[in-house]
Amino acid sequence: MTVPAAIVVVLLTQSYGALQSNAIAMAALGGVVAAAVGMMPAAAWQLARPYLYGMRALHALVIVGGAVALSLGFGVSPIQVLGIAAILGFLWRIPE
Amino acid sequence: MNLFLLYIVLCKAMLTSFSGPTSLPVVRHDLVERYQVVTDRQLEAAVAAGRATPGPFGLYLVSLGYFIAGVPGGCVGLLALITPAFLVIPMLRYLGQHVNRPAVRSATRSVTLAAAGLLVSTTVPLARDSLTSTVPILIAIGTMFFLVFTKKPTFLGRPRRGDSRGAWQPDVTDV
Repeated sequence: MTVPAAIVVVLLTQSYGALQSNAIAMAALGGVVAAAVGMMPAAAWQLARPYLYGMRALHALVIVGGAVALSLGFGVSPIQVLGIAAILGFLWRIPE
Repeated sequence: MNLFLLYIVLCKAMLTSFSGPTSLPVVRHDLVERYQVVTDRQLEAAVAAGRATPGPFGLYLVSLGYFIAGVPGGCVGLLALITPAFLVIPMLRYLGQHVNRPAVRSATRSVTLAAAGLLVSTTVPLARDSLTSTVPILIAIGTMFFLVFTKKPTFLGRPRRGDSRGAWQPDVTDV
């Protein structure tokens, strides 16, 4: 499944380069890219949603908010943020 | 950027992600900010290409690899995508006995939540780059609400196992 899909992805990426001079195609691609941007916060929501209820909500808000603040506010690299989160989760148990 | 370094960077991103799109912040940090071998626009196009095909979300690595080094780069992206699947076998053999410890489960959950936060923070520069007029902003907001409030696929998804209604959901838990 992955290899045929990867071939399709390469073909789509090739067409991106070829279509850069076509205004209509680029406008359509702009819409696809905007949709891709919209998918990201939706994916973040779907990851965090199970933890936003009950006793877990405080953990979720602190960790998600902390990750955003460390990454955007202080420029901490994603790997370091994930490492800090792992240590925090180890020490500050998220309820089952 | 040579292919081996590209493989290491992409592998690092995949190995530190616990679900589909959570590799994106690491990939952006390394390839857009640190090595500057792709632009935000190319990253967005890669994500769009990856989502426009059936299969795991991580397929955008193939597109990114192609942007950076052509067909060999695409092959490296594919290799990085499948590497964790092979590594998980020895990992389960040696680390599997610790997975159910409450502290480890809590750490895993914490990393998942941090990944959600990183996704939000990655969205900001990408949105700044691509949402430059009203129509793209409306498309992005519409897509976000569509995915949050419905169980429809992003384009070519697959039904989630165990969903008796046959509803379709985005593959955010893939690879």
